[in-house]
Amino acid sequence: MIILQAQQVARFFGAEVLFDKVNLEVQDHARIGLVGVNGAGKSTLLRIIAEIDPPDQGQIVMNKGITLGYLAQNSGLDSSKTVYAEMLTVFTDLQKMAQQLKDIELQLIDHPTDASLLANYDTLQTTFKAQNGYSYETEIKTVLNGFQFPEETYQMSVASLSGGERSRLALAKILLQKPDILILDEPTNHLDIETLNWLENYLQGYPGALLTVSHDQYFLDHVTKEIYALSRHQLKHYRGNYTNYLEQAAAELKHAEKEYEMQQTEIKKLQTFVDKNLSRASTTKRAQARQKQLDKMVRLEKPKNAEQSAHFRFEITEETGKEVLMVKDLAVGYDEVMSRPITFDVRKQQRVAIIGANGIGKSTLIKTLLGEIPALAGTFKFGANVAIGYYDQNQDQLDPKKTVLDTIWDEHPLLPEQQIRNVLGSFLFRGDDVQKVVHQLSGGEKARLLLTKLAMEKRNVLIMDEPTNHLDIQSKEVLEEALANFAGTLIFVSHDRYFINSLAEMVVDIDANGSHLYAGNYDFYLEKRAETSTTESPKQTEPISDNQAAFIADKNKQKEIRKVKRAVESAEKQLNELGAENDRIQLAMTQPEVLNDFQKLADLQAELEKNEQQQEEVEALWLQASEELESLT
Amino acid sequence: MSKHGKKYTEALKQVEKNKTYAADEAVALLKKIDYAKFDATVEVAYNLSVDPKQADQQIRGAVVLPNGTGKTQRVIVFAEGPQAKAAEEAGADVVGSDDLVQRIQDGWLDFDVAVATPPMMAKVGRLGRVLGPKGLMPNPKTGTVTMDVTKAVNDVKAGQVTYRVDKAGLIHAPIGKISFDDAKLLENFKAFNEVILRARPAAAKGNYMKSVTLTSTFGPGLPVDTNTL
Repeated sequence: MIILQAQQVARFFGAEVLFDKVNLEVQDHARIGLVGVNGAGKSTLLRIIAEIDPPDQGQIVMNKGITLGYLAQNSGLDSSKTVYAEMLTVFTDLQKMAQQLKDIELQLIDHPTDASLLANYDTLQTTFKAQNGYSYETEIKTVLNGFQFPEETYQMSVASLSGGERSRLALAKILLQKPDILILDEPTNHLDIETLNWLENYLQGYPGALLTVSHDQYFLDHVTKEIYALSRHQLKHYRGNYTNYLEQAAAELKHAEKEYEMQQTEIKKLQTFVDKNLSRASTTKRAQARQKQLDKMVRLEKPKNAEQSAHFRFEITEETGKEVLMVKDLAVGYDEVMSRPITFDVRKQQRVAIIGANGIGKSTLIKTLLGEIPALAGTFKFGANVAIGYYDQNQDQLDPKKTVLDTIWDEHPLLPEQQIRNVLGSFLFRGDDVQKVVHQLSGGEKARLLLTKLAMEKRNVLIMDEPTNHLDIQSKEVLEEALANFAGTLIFVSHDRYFINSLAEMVVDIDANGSHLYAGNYDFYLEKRAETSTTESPKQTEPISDNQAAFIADKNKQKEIRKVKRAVESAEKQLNELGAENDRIQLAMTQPEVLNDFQKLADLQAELEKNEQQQEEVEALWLQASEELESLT
Repeated sequence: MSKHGKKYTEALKQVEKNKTYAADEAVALLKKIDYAKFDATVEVAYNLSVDPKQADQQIRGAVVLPNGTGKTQRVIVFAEGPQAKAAEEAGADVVGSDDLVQRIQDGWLDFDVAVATPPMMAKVGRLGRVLGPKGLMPNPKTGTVTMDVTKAVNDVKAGQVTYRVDKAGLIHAPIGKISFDDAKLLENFKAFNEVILRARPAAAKGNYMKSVTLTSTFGPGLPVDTNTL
């Protein structure tokens, strides 16, 4: 049964179309994923469906009596209540009923045979039971437990929780409300991996319909059974999960390309015939007929390939020393210690992932390192020449009133507008996009703007807190690539399993007992943790096994290779530049005005010799690096 | 769909498809095709054209079957003073007040029916979280919240069956054991049927009893024509 329909819905921003003629159907028990690149209008569409914003055209039709629950991205609960009391607010009606039952029970002591009282009691008790009145408290506990809120947190005030915890609590609350249609905008942001698995299982058994936006492919594959793809202002429907959708979309594109090519061949053939035969009297009739055929033909549009995703790189201006960061027995927290002792070292060009459950103090650790809050105990020290660039998960560093262009330009006032626009362009802010005000931007667009800012700073150590939140899958891959090629050092917090796996060279797992180091990527971490959990909990630093030693050796070798490769590339680039410069000087020397001027000629000759000498030096370096690279590979 | 077992398939072969059986015929056939290794329960299922979402169309209550259900029910009674004494005399398995409440809170649940006097409900209400989900909360309409505890205990002991219509408009109830005589089973069936007929809500539309099916534990269902009772 269809319980909600979006009919011919459109949304415009001024003259610009965000989407148009969008149709969407929600069946009862549907499991729908809404996908699209950042800024395609997914969140806007969800808000229209949830009837928070009105559509510019079209309408939303919903069955009578259907309840709808909407959880916006980045929304956390804001309440002065305790965790448990906040969850209880979902069941206010049941609580009232329980009170009424109690009242009648008390009245029954004095009037045990009052028939109307007994009848009332009976009706109330039946309704109470039908609405799960006897077990709602168990339900609250189940859900809170699933979201990693153990019983000792029930009496904590919501306001004292971390950002991630508040988001999880908001999600827990909406799940308890059990609306007929559950609309979730990026529910997987801020969730740690354990909670994510729990949520996937819970949503699979959810009694109502589900409509969700997510950039987590794993999550979409597990939870959804149909996909709506928002692309180029249109919404398209696909059956199956996200992987099925990718296959279908690729097949569709291939088919469209084939059709287009066939039509182009046909057009060419007809056109050639017309051109050849139109002017000849004996064949002109036939040519005219073909011309008519051509005119009538409905021309297919050239199918466009996958939509653009951002493309960028992080550069550095100067290199750090070999030691980048030394953390020893550090204790972090605001008033009380959240985790201790944290000990780890970060070396130049290492990529370190910090993981751990929500609320354990990952963001607090980063804030401590950045000097925003004082360390409660222990020490940390940054190495020489360290220049830190910071990416904040809350996107608090952006001024909501500034435009995209001004956000960047104000920080680099000496650069010409064109250069700023070029950089913004590589982060997919094109044309009028740069005039958008920050508060109009989608979550993904804000993330891209922050990355632009970070890329412009050219810092040699990047500290990133949940950089993949809000980014669509393509942008995430590009970020991954940019960070993999980054010549500086990277320290990041993430809950994205794929992202950690492809980037991390070292994993620092933080829990209440402090830090545990794993010298490998996420798979390696899981493997080692599975091993240690069967024996005993890992100590401060893992004893290095043979396997691990081989792994570290391999990692170091890869690092060495990358380093030498960069040296070779840089030498080649320099050689090219010097060669071009030589050509220019030689050309200048042949000019008649120089030939007649002895002084000018002598200057140029000196410059040429200096250049050639430099060329020889660079060539020697290049040769050495190439040989080294060969021996390494 | 899960596959049926050999014995069930064998039993099903003896049931004529699309046939509505007369009541006595159905009972006889049930006994013939029963294959359970214990004394199977005979159950009846009604499909009624009522809308259970409407408060005035919720059918529920209790009925004492003339020949019992063949199952001994363990009854506990929450009562004080003369009612407690009466309950003990009537044969209640456990009678108590605060002590019984505490015992249940400690995890004891070895009983089938709980009866309470109205004044005791203030205490029993606290057990909602324990008794409610198991369907053991005393309720006035099923006769388990009453001052007349003697009758309540006797009724339960004599084979009282509680029934209620579910979300889909179905009622399921046991009416005896397969070891009963045909006549006794039919008598129980008739008594239960009359109660269901009497419970017809005024707001119910059209054909009230859409279908009635008789079955035994593990056995196939036999459609029955209740007019033959």
